[in-house]
Amino acid sequence: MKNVKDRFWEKIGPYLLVAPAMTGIALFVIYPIIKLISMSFYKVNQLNPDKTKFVGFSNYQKMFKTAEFQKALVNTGYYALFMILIVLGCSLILAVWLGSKKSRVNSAAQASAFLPHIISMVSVGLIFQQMMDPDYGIFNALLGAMGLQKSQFLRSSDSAMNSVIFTSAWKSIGYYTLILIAALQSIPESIYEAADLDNAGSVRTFFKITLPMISPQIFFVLIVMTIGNFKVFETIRVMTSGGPNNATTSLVYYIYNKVFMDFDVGRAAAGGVILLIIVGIMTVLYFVSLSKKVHYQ
Amino acid sequence: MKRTMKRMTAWVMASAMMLGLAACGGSSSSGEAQTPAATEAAKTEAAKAETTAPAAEAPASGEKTKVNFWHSMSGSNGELLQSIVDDYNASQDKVEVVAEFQGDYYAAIAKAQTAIAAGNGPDILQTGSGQVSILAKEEGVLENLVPWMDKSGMEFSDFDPTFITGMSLDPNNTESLVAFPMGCSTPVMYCNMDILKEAGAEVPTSWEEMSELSKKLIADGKIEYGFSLIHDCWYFWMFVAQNDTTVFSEDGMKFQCVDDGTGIEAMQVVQDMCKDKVMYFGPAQDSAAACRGMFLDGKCAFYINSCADLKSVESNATFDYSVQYIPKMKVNAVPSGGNTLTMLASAANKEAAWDFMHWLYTDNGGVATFAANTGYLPCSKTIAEQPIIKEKRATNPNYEVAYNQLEYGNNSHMVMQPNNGDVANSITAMMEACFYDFEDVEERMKVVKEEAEDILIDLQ
Repeated sequence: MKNVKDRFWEKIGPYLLVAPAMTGIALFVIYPIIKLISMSFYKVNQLNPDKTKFVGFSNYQKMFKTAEFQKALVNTGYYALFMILIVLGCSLILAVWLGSKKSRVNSAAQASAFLPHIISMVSVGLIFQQMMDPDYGIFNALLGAMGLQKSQFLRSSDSAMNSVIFTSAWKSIGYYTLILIAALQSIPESIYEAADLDNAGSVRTFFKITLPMISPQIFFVLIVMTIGNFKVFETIRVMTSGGPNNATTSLVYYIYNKVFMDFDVGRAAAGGVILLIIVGIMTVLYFVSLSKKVHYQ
Repeated sequence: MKRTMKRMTAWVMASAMMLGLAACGGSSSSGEAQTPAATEAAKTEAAKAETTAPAAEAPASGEKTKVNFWHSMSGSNGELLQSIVDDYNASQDKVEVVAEFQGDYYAAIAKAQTAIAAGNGPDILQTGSGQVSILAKEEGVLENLVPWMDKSGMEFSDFDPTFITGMSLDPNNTESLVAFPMGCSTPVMYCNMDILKEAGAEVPTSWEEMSELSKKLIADGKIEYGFSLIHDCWYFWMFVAQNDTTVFSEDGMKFQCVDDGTGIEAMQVVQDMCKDKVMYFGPAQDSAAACRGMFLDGKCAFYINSCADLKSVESNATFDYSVQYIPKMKVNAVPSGGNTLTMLASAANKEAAWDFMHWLYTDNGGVATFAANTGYLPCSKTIAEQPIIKEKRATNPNYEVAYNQLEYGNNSHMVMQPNNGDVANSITAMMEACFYDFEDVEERMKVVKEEAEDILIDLQ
């Protein structure tokens, strides 16, 4: 027969033990989200909080009407889509190439592919910004030397976003390559030997063995990249400030701009809510549509 | 035993956590309650100070009254400002000014807003001339300096009206002044005189002359572009004012220069210069460095930027150069900018803060020293008459030209719409579309008009 104390502990104890972690989550995740959502319905007066007034959906209505926000939405989607396609594709190719056998050349290539990841994004952005200068940059000098047409890179709305994607992709590929190489190397050799005995071709081996075996890591990379790319900020802040003509304004840059340049906190909060919804939907969609196809050993 | 220990530990942790939470709750609720009360107290304090000023604030004997001064000057300008503050502190034994760098104008104003709302604002705040309106439009945040000026015998009319209007303040309302201009500048044109001499050409005084000369110099292979202009919406105001018109309507609510076509006309002139490579519109990032670099490398014959850049040009130019008036369209016009000094209505030590401000604007070692060493222009007659400025004007003809150009100061956009900073994003996007991508000027200006008027209605 358990005494009252034991029964009490059995019921309450677990809650008390998870309470510290839950308090942290409540304070630093749940409360800010609720506050963000509530602020998005107010016209916030930072100097005199008494004058902050409820405006309903006005912040959202006005935000969706502006070209700046519309462009920010399209740009963020475009950036995320192409970053995922390019980075995932290139990382996979590099990983299969570099991870296939261990040679000095491969190790050196692996290290140099990873190198951009350890450089700060601010430095990378500034260096690429100079290299992409239409008048004095090395890129146009090379294009000119090869007899190709020069590009305006960051100075034209047509090429600015692609230039930013190129820079971000250059920096990210090495990191994801490393994750995929580790995944490839964890595939038991015996499976490949068995496939070899069955005379499976290399393409078939790749699609039927390699890809399914590393699918958990690809799934992880996909989730992390989607969320990360929807939150792109520093590359844009450093390289273009969202310009020219809002061609590179992303959702997060829009939010930053509203808070720290226009001091319109309500509108920024509305932008934050939209970002939260988009990233939330994307993550749920991935889990629902892809999780069944991921092969777990 | 072990089990009992575990339980005890759990209870101790839980209690500690509850206490922690209670403490958090307590502080936040008192914080919320404090804000309006603090604001109210500040207002009462402000009212009191204007009538009964000094007595209450006299420091205890031997102790200096502390004044918190937030500024946005970094690098050599920051060191200069600190040395000025040190000089003031050493010059008397009643007030100790503590200067703190708070980031650029945007960062400083963001911090100031939060601090003011929490009742922890500084006593004196330096902020960009474009950011003053953010604080000024909220009643009771900034101290009206006119009563203090009256007390110390400072004249409102002493300040150059260009710089008063440059802070979106009305020079005709002599009853109220919530900010003093501090580091003041206008755009000027830096000329490579060697190139002009070689071509046997005169300094262009209009954009027509500029286009003609630049095309000739480009055709001769002397330069790649005529002039470089930094990426700043400042120049939008300048070009429109130069077309002898105003951006906004009288009530500040309509983007009039689109309705009457004068703004479109002005921007068309600028776009044509970009198309002809007469003008190089700088990149969004590091624009001044890029544009100055083009000029210093001899790739442009002219460079247009603030007169505060004179020091950089002086120390890096390897050729004969001079500062000249900005060429005109229909008329000459230059906007003003820079930074300002405000006293907060919530300042704890107003008498002491005023003593420092008064010293800055009347002593040779104050704003006059700051202006002479940075290249900023003197903002008042008193400062212009200080020995250090007189010497600078006498020995540096380029500085003198920049000073004389003040006769064409024009900030009509600031006077008609003090919150013009809110439409800057739209204008910048238009400039980029027209000057980088050569999109249709009329169409883009209509977009700006629509967006700007929406924003202005929203501000009401």
